[in-house]
This record gives sequence, structure tokens and C-alpha cells, in this order.
Amino acid sequence: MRFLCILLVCLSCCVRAALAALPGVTPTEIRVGSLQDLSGPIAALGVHFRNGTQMRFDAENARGGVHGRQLKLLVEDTGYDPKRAVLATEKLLGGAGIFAAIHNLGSPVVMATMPRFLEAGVPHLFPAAPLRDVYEPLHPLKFGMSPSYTLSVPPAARHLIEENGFKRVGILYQDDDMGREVLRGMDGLLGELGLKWCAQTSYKRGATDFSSQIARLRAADCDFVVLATVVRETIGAYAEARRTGWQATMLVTASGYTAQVHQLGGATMEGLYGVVLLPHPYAEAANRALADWIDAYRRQFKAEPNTWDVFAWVGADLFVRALHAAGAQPTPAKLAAALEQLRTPRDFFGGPAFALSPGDHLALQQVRIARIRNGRWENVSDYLNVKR
Amino acid sequence: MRRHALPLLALLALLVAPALLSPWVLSQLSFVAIYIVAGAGLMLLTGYAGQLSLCHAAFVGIGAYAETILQLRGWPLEVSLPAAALLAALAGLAAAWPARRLAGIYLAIATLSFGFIVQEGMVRWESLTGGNAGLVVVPARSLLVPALDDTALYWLAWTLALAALWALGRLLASSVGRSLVALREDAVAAAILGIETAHARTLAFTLAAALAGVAGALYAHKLRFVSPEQFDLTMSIEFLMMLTIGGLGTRTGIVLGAVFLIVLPQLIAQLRDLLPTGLPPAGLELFAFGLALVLSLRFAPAGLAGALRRFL
Repeated sequence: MRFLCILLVCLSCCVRAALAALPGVTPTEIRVGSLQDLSGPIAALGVHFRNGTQMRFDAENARGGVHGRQLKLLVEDTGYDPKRAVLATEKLLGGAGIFAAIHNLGSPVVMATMPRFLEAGVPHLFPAAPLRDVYEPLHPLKFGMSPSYTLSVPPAARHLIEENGFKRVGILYQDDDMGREVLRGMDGLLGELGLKWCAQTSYKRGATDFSSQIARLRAADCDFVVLATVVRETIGAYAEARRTGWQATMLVTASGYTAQVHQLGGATMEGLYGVVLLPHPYAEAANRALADWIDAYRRQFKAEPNTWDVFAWVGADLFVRALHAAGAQPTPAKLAAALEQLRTPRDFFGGPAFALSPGDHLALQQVRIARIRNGRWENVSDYLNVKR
Repeated sequence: MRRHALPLLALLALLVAPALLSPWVLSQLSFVAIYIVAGAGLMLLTGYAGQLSLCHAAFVGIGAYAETILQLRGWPLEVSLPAAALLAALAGLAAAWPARRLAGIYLAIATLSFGFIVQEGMVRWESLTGGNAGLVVVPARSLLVPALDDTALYWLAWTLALAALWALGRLLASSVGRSLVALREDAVAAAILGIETAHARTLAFTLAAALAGVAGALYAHKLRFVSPEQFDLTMSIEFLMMLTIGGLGTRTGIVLGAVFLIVLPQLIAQLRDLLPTGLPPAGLELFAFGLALVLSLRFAPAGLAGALRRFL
């Protein structure tokens, strides 16, 4: 009996030692890293991604954590600078290390740091960068949340084109990676539909006047226009069109689907269509679970939540569910396997069901269409599958 | 002896660093070395020759892209790195041509335009550069080194940084170097004395761009990803700030400025982890950086190098 006790004590020490040897995992906590822009050009997104993730982790910690371990979120501010991001990555991977990296924000940041995480055997989960590289080619530890713009825009555009019989399709795109991705996706769609571009116009990031672009699109008699624009440009372009009396149907990509568009643009923005990846959490007419979530967010962060909080919360929720399924002795491989087996129902936000698989690490493979009516985005379609 | 003690100690620290320091600190030191190489070029052009340039990032970018593309095509590092420097030097030559007859704010505007043109070229020449999506930098191929891992890159970066500082010193001690300084002090007087000012400007731009190209090549391997938005006006201003804080017109200024630029934000990030949770975590680095900049300009106008000289 005495020998058995000694043996058990030795075994438990070995297990503890083994656990301690796994970066980011201790008997009491699991450390998760996140590279955010909290002070740079997209800090408006970074703050919400941090908040949404923290909120989900805090909720789980209040329930006792995952298999008795508290989730600790370590956020490093990159300022959207890839150089700082590389240093932040080295900082996260050093010392006690991290078990996983989640919601890293910004395309250049992700592209510069993702290889380092993967080389260190750290799962790279649901980065906030709509790049194909974050889920393809398939890698055991690489999981993406959002489809690239090339994939997300065509299903929504096709739906509107076919529903309304549009023949003259134009585009206004931001002359950068995002805009060109949308252009590429729409090139493919028009080819499938046997249509040609009616007009293509672009603008440089930071532009504030879109009168010439809208005039060109109108002169070409476009009946449907895709706006590959962000917030201010969406408002500027759509308002310019309506100001001149032009009523062409316009669809903004997911980059322009935010509450800010109708909050800042006002009544002029009525009628604008938008591509929805995950819905904005409106308090009005919210179901009970969503209303409670919004209240909890307001109490914790003294601010209003938006789509990016929903993204972050949903991604963190997938991680937490998979971590539970990975068991009391989690490893990156077990987490990845659990993610691949995960099946989630539609959530209280109104988001789609998720189903990752061993052959496909892209979580969100559906989009829907919303339209601004009465000062808010209203869904006008169910979820549409993206074409892979 | 006292004058040499600090540099010798620093050299010793650099030699033992890979054995003692964490990858995070080693990475910072690698970036310091890369910025010293780039800074040496800009110091030659702006600090010594007095030519204000707002396109230094463009030369770094050309070096970075050249290295990336040549490595993708299988060129070994021993050939691709000098080639990257040469291509950047040619860009410097191109930038110098309109700048030969300009000075002051007009020269700054001309270089600003050049920077925009180069960045636009990186975006538009998609078949070569990948456009806005950028290019992933492959693990470096070398004839001499089996794999350019982070430690090997550290040694390479510091070898080139020290070589750049040494070469700068030799150049400044030569008649060419004295011509450049004369150009800064008084271009008219320099011309009267028979110094070909246009030729001197061209030489300064070309050499500065070559050093920036080397820095760009190293930068590409450190980041493992290049995209046009990395080499914008912000980066050019970063280099100028680095030299101003470090001390314009001194080689020590290049080193101190690079350390300040790279290490200070990391120190602040580390200190922030120790702060009470009630304080806002974001933007502290920027605030402290800005404050340090103002204080150093107010109380140490000769830069950190000047302050260090007074102290020693």
C-alpha cells in the first residue's frame, strides 16, 4: 500500500511535469495569445476583437474555466506594424509560452507572424484577416474564420443579379488588396453568368470625393454596383449616388457592413445592400439571449458592441468548445482534432451553424444579404453557400 | 581607454548575446542591426551631406523585394544580397537625377514623390511583386550557410551593420566624405571651391540607397513577408526620427537611434505587463515614445550621441 502511494505520487509529479512542459498550459491556467492593433490605424477593430474574446473567456472562467483551468488572454499591441508584430510574437512564444494564438488582426501582421506560430507548434486560430492563406493550404494547426473577399462577395452578388435580372454590373473598389480581391471574385462570377463589366472605377485609400467615380458608373448606365469600400467610402459613394438622383442597386462588401454606415450616413443610406458574415448585435428586437449578451458587454466594457465583438466572441466560443472536447490534458493536436469534429447550431446572434472538418479548416462558409431599412441593417436573405 | 571601453563592452555583449538571451531579445537586436545599416545610408545622405530625403523606405523596399524575388528564383544569398544592394543603388541614382539641382523643401518634395512612385510600382507590377497581396519570403538559400535561421541572421545583420559603420567612417575621412560635408555646410561655397555639387549629391543618394538595399534584404528575411504598405512614408519618417534622436552627423547617433526606436517600445510593452490593470494598456508605447522624443529634442538637441559624449 505504501509502495502504491509512493508510485501514485511519483506518477502525478510526472504528469504535472509533462503538463508544465507544454507551452501555455499549467495546472491552473491556459494562456492564449492575440496580436491586436490597439493604437494604430485599425485600432477601432482591434479593441472590439480584444473585448469580444475577453468577454467569452471571462464567462467561461466564471463557470470554473476549462477542466479547472482559467483562460488567460495575453494581448499584444502591434500598432498594425509587422515589425512590432514579429517581436510581439517572439514575446508571446518565449517564457511560459502560449497554447494557442487567436484572432490575430491585420493581413500584413498575420502574414509575417503566422509561420512563426505554426513552426512553434502553436495553433493559429481564426485570424481577423480575410486571406485564403489563413486556411489554405491545409495545415493541422491553421484555422480560418472568414472566407476571402474573392469567395464572400459572389454568392450575394449572384443572388441579387439573378433575383432582379441585372445585366449591367459596375464596381467601385478601393485600390488595395481588399478591393482587388473583390474584383477577382466578381470577374469569376460575371464569367459564369456570361456578363461583362459595365464599368470599373477605383479610388485610393483615404479618398473622400467620389463624384467622378459615381458619374462614370452612372454614365455607363450600370443597374447594379458592387462597392468594395470601407465605412467612410461606402457612405461617400452611396450618398453621392443618391444625391444626384441615381437609384441603381448597390451592394457593399462585408468591409462596409457595420452599424457606423447608417449611424453616420443617416437616412441617405436607406436601401443599401450589404454582405453579412456575422450579424451586427442590435439591441432593438433582440432575442432574450442576445439582449442579455449586449447588457453584459455594456456593463463590462462601458461601450456598445458591434460585428467585430460578435466575430471575436464566436471564434472564442469555438475555441472554448473545442478545448472542452480536447479533454483534461489538452495538446495542440487534440485541440485541432476537436475543432475538426465540432458541430455548432445556429447561435443567438443569428449566425450560421459551423462545421469544420479534417479536410477543411474554414469555419464560415456562408454569407447572407442585409439591407438598410429604417436606420438599421435588416437581413433580406438566408445564408448562401460560398463556392470553394 | 575610457572612450573605447563602451564600444568594446558592447561588442562583447553582441558576441555572447545568442548564447544568453531569449529569441525575443535577440530579434530586437537583429532589428537594431538592420536599422543601423539603413540608418548609416540615411546618415550619409542627410546627416553628412545635408540632403533631406523622404524616400529612404523606398530604397529599403527595393532591396527587400529584390532579395525576395531573387531568392524565389533560386539565387544564393551571396549573390542575391549584393544584387539587391545594386538594384537599390540604381534606384538611388534615379532618385538623384531630379534632385541634383534641388535643395531643402524642394528636394524633400522630390524625394517624397519618388517614394510614392516606387510604392505604386510595387503595387502595379503584380506579376513580379504580387501586388498588394505581397510575397512570402522563402527560407534563404546560401552557398556558405546551411540555413539562415534567426541566429545566423543575427550574425549576418551585425556583421553588415559594423561593416557599414566602419565603411562610413572611412568614407568620411576621405576627400569624398569631406566634399559631402562641405555640401551640407554651404553648397554655394562648396561649388566655388570646385566641388561638383550635383555629382556629390548623386554619389550620396547612390551610396545611401545601396546601404538601404542591404537593410531591405535583411529586413525581408527577418519578416519573411514583404508587401508595399510596409515601405511607405511612415517608415521613411521613422528613419529620420531615429537619426534625429540619435544625433545627426554622428555614427554613434545611428546606433543609439536604432536602439531607441526598436528597444524602447518593447521595454514599455514589458513594463506595461507589470502595471495595475486599471490603466489603459493601449497607446502607452506611442505616448512614451512621443514624450521621449520631445524630451530628447528639448534637452539633448545633439541627440543621444551628444548627451553620451557630455556624460563620458
